[in-house]
Amino acid sequence: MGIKLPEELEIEVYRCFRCGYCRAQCPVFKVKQNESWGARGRMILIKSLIEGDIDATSAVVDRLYCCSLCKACETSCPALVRTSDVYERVRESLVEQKQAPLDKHQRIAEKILAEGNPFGLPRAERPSSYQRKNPSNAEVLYFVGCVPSYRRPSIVRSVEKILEAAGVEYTTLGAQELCCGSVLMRTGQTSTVKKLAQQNTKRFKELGVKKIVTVCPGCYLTLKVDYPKLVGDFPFEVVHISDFINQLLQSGKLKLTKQVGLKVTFHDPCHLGRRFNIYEPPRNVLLSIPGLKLVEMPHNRENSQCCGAGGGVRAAFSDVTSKIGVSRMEEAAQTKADLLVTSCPFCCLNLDDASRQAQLLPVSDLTEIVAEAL
Amino acid sequence: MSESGLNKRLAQIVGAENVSTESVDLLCYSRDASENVGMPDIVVWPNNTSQVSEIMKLANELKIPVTPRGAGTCLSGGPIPTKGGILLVMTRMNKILEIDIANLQVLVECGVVWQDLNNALTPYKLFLPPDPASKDACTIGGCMAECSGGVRAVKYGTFRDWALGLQVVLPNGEIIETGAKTRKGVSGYDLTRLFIGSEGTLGVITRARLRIFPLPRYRLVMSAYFDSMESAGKAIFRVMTSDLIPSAAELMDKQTVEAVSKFMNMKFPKCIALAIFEFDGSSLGEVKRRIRQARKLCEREKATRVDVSETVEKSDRLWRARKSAGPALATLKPSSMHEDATVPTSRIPEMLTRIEQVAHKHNVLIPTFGHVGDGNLHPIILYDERNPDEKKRAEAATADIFRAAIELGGTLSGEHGIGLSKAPFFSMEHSSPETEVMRKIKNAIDPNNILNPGKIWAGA
Repeated sequence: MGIKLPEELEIEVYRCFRCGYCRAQCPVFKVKQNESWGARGRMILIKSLIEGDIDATSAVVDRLYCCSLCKACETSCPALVRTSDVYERVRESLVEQKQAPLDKHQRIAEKILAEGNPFGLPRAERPSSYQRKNPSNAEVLYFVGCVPSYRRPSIVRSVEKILEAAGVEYTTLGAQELCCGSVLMRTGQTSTVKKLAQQNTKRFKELGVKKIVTVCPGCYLTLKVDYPKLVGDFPFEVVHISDFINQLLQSGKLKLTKQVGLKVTFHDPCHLGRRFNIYEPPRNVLLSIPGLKLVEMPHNRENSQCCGAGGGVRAAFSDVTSKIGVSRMEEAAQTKADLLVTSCPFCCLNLDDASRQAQLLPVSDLTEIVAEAL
Repeated sequence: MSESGLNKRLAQIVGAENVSTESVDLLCYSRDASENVGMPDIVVWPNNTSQVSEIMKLANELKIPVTPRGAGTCLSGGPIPTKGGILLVMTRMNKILEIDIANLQVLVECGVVWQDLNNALTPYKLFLPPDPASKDACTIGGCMAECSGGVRAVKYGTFRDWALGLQVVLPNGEIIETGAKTRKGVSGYDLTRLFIGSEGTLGVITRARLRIFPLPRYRLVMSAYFDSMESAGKAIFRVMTSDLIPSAAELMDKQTVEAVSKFMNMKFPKCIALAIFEFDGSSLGEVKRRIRQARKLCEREKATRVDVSETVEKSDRLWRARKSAGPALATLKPSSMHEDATVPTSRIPEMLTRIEQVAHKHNVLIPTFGHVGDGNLHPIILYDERNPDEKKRAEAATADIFRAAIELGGTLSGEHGIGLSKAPFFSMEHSSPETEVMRKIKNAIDPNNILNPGKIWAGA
């Protein structure tokens, strides 16, 4: 059975004239060195699916899901094809036809529906430390996110420390916070995300907040771009923590005084950099830390190389993720930095794993190093 | 031998993980950047020359077709199998073996990507000048097999001009080394040049020794706008015959400028033709002097406006715009044929007129741009393949463009190769005795016709 895409996305598929320039960018292709696992191959497969020349066999579905939606291919595409939009819609279409998602992604959805987080850990175990007094007049909601909550609680403590030092009146959802659904959105499980979006939005409205600060660029993308489309009325300003901290520093509300005598390199998260062009705010924050020296990797900003975790790849293709992650950490190690800093808990988690595996430098989230400088 | 038997033999040579008969892989390796399609039966990724040699011995023994492939960025169908068989993907042989600064040369494996090689040369302030538009992805082996060019060919020539020698695996599996490490050499037939541009029909190029060159310290770009194609053509001709030696001399017609403007969201002054020149050198004063001279020549030919890009960013943006010409035009119609017919530089104005006449005669859109400085035009024939009449007219127009190029003393292909796309027109350019010499060479080297069959001339 073929797939049907909306006209505006079908045109994108036909605009690809297979020049192959994306070979130089696609992190999955770099690992696999096989056309069918790269951006051009995926476009050939999608066109064949549209024209009904092939079926969505498991081999085809695997190729279409083994993409972290990092948008690196888009930076080199002379035909300006919006590949990541195409892939997301194709995945959605495959899910509608019950030919996807992959088992691992299906299980993540089940865990989120059961416990509100992709790890299937008890809802009540969201770290309680941030269940603050929830001032009723707070305009800012700190949306904690699942990875910091369950996998890297030091990020949660760091964000709290920063917000309190800056005197920000904020609130959180505590155990009421539900996964934003980012991983489900990226893997085509849109109808499930819609349910999550409705529940989360209802709670945001009940709290009466105006601004939502996220630490995870996945949450940021989902709340900022997907939620308004899914729920219609979404009257909130969504801000990423790197932007937020940068504003606090510029307005003088936050001051970093402690010396951090480290040489660090910065990894641009794909959902923050190529997706929203947020390149400078996290760097400005780093450069505000006394004593800190920032060195760039050759692949930085729009040319940044993906950590390999996004788009559901880490869950379903851990071997690919791990190779991409190690290659990124090797690039970081070549800068002779003491520490790699990123502005995404998921990149942080993934690169930290890769770094331990290859015995390279340590990895921190931006919030962790900022908290150290307070 | 059965397919699984062949699979097993190949797996013994390269390892099972480097052989695939999966239908998704076969499908993705059935295309390049041209309109051609052809499925292989099996995809193989060799890792070294001796494996390539073993594969060729096996294929020759079993008379199985072999199609070599680099990055598959080809615009003429070179790496597209016509008779199934083995698709030999050379990209894993990607080591830079030697950067010999004393002799200004490099030795590389065929799968090295152009940009990776140049990145490795930059710290030494050296570079490999021919610059195909696909340089981020294309491999040196592919560039040699297709004799690729690029915008800077006008000053620096194509890959043919930079090759010192090759390592080639012949169809019977024998390995030969052509050329020498020396800058000069007249020792027997020039086999290096025989294999360059042979489009993978005579041997599998596994290594290349190439000259490299000091990187110019300064590059400045100048754009000149004209209200007629004729004035633009004359201005370019004047610059080309002066002592200014541009490192690029490009032309875009009105339709191309408009398409690029829309596609890249860039504003250009109103014009019928836009000429872009690049000048490079080691002294800024000297490069600026040449720019001033070129400006005068353009103004003498009634340029309506001349701009010099002062910053690298501005120059890069202009080059990006120029490089987006093909894709930008391709969005105007569902289908397009990208040609690279080339004429002697002095015949460019005539060729431009002929293309306009062809477009008019067949009632098709043929926007044109290209490397006019070396006579290499890229007329893009736009059509809708779903409309049989329009498709027929587009094909007729293509044939007329080739005819015009040949009549003006030119060639079917400046830098993309004949491959499959232009094979039907081969006899337009080459006489029977000439083609016969080529056939005899092919037959002497590949008597079983197993290496990339069906390419270059009809019935190959």
